[in-house]
Amino acid sequence: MLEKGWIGGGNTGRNTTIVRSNYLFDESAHLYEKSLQLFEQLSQELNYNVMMSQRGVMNLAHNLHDVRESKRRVFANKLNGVDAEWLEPEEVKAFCPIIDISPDARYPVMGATLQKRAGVARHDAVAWGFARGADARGVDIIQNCEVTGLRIDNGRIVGVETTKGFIGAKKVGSVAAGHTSVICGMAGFRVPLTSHPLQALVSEPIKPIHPCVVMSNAVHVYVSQSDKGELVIGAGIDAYNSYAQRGSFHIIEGQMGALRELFPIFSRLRMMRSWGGIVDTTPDASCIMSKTPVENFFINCGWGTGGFKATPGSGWAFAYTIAKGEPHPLNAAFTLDRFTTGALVDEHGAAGVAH
Amino acid sequence: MSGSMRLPGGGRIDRSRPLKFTFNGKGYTGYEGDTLASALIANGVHLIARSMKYHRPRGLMTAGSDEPNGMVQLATGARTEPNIKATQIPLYDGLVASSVNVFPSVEFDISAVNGLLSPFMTAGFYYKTFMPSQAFWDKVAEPVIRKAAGFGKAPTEPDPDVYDHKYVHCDVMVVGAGPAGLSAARAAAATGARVILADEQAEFGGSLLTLNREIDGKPSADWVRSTVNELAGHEEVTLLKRTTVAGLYDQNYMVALEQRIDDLTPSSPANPRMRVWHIRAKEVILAAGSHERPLVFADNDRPGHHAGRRGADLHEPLRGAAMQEAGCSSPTTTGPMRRRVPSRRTAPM
Amino acid sequence: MLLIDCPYCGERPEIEFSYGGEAHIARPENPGALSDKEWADFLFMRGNQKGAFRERWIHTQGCRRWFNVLRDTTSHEIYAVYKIGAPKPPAPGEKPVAAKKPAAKKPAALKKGAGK
Ligand SMILES: Cc1cc2nc3c(=O)[nH]c(=O)nc-3n(C[C@H](O)[C@H](O)[C@H](O)COP(=O)(O)OP(=O)(O)OC[C@H]3O[C@@H](n4cnc5c(N)ncnc54)[C@H](O)[C@@H]3O)c2cc1C
Ligand SMILES: [Zn+2]
Repeated sequence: MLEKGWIGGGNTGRNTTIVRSNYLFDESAHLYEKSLQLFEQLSQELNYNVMMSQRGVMNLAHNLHDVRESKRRVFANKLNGVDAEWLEPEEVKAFCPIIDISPDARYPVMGATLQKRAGVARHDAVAWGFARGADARGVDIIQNCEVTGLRIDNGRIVGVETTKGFIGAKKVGSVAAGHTSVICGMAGFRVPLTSHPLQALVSEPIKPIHPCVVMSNAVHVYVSQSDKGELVIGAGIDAYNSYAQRGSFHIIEGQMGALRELFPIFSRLRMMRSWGGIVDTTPDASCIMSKTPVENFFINCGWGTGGFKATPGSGWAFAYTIAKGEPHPLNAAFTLDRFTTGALVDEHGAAGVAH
Repeated sequence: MSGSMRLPGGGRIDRSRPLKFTFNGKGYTGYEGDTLASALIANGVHLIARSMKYHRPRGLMTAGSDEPNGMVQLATGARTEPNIKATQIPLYDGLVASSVNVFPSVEFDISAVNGLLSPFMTAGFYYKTFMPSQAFWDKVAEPVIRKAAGFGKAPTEPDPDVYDHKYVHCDVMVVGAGPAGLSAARAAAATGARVILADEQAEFGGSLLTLNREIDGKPSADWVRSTVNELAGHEEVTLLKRTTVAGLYDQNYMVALEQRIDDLTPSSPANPRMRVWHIRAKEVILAAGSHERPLVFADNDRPGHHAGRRGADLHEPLRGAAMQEAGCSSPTTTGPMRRRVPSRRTAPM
Repeated sequence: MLLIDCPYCGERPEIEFSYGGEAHIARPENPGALSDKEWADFLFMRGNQKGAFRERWIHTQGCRRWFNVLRDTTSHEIYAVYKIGAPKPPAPGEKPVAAKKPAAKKPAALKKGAGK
């Protein structure tokens, strides 16, 4: 395993840690649900506390379209065995008492979907737990080692050039998130990805006041409170392409406005730090876990703003894909071909709040 | 109590204007020009807060925005604010503040027992403990950890205050109004440039607020005064006190937060409590000075230990009080040795 | 927040503009004649350069006109702004693209304030 920086230094160490499986389409629901189930046993399996906290995730609806779309998603989730409920505004308030549901709010809360098994997990612990587990099984983890080229012989991969020299390999998997286009460029093919900054920020630590995770598409913000007491806040990407791991301030200002709209009591809190990651977005807001035009070279990317929740499931299915040379039924729909065949898995609604 | 540890003269306070305030339910008196921090120390209050994990006692380390310890819960009700640095709170009449992260009180804190367990609670200990099962984590361990976490409390009512923001352009943005920043602003203003000078303190002067040097043949305090007056006379110069520049973004875009009302005066659209400045500058000069690195030794974070230079600032009117100061930035010295500080060249540009 | 020099209005903050992604993608003249792969290439495949990148912006809250920007995606530095149809100004270290006919005018963006 080669990492150009340090373990967890990519988006995994920068994300807002929301874990849920309430996606709309069957293909996504199955994959994310597999992942959530793996998350539910991850601490025991890795013997490392990833602090999986199933405190419930609400996706708010603020207009009639939101309400219809959200209810449709609740029904679809139930059909797929994913736990989902529809909450009326008073039930939203009961689940999260600090939220403003007054009907004269600029964007009144008209209800919400709730997935009770969803929640947050500690991102660093997930990265370190996996690294420890991999190491224990004999994986060599080489940090500060950047892949600078792919050696391809007759359409088949034979190894990678790195800043520390050449490494021969029978099979190569790329899981480089925002840098996937760069890696695929080394192999001479294009991918339907654009790399954008996604910013997040945390408040100073305060005593527990926010019991769950709240996401809102329409006012565009999502927020939870970490076990340390910080409010963890995120929203959407910066519009422009970037590899700079930073974005523009008006994005942060916009999400602060949205946060204040939903939680007027947060107005006087101070924000402690903000940062950005580089996310790899796809045209249909679904991942790509796929074979490529280069034989024995596989890619796992396109998770964009929402792949942390998929980490265990995506690793599981990708391992299968590399081992067998063919996708598992769980990721069979998420190939590179779908952009040619047109069989897109358009999850913009469920992934909507940029994640 | 009017301040048992207070010297009869000196410092940046107006002794003719006493101010009453309350800390942890007890009444004290300070003076106009005090910060909450200096007023507490003058009243002999050194134990301000408790640390996050072990709830160890915490006092004041520094005199400004670099303060790592002395955080308080400021004001009450809808106007309460958590985790505000006592060193950055200008004292006002009727101020109410209390310690954060303590139960039942800062002097006797139950969670301090965590300190005795510290060998078992090393960094990251929670990754390797608390997980006999997911259910144990959900139902028992996580709720306990959550309750122990965090410092101050969020308000529970909507904010009654009014805020605004503003977009401005300038030729030269100067961050920090110490000798370097003032000189830079002055030189830029002399060319007719549109200049914005921002400093997070309530007065311009930076290090010269507490150091006495000679600049251009004048005592530095006089130089600061005349420079600020000169700048104020330029039509194209904007002077922003109590304004923290919080970010420098692409193409010289800056975000600054101006604290306009410190006390409980009600704000209004015409007189907002805080203003966010969005500043686009052709040139940016960072003259924000330096922060001192604390010396590393056991228990250097206990009350009574102060960073040397900044601690000395804070204790200016308090010489002779039992205290220890330690630091390693260039002008470090203990308060009583102030006179022996070798004169550093000021007004660099 | 980026500062973008609209070739029609001059320097304005990013919030007045909307982003249009990669520039210079020509719509196929005869879509019906394309293979699925070629059509997918046109619709979905994008240059996602790390470094100098040619992209489109529209001055949504100003003149509402589209134009091109040459910007570095690692530093956010804007090297050039040029009108749709104008020759491509070279990226740093890139040889100027030889125009078919010698360009009569310098690209607008290289002349500061052109077209304001
Ligand atoms: C601010 C933010 C908030 C987010 N919030 C959420 C959320 O709440 N919930 C959620 O589910 N998802 C969220 N995400 C998305 C999630 O973080 C990612 O989808 C996920 O972490 C991707 O994991 P990964 O292992 O594929 O990529 P990464 O963790 O980014 O790892 C890719 C690694 O590849 C390395 N690399 C790149 N190029 C090379 C090279 N040439 N050689 C060697 N190494 C290389 C990088 O250094 C990096 O460490 C968020 C993302 C961000 C940025
Ligand atoms: Zn314009």
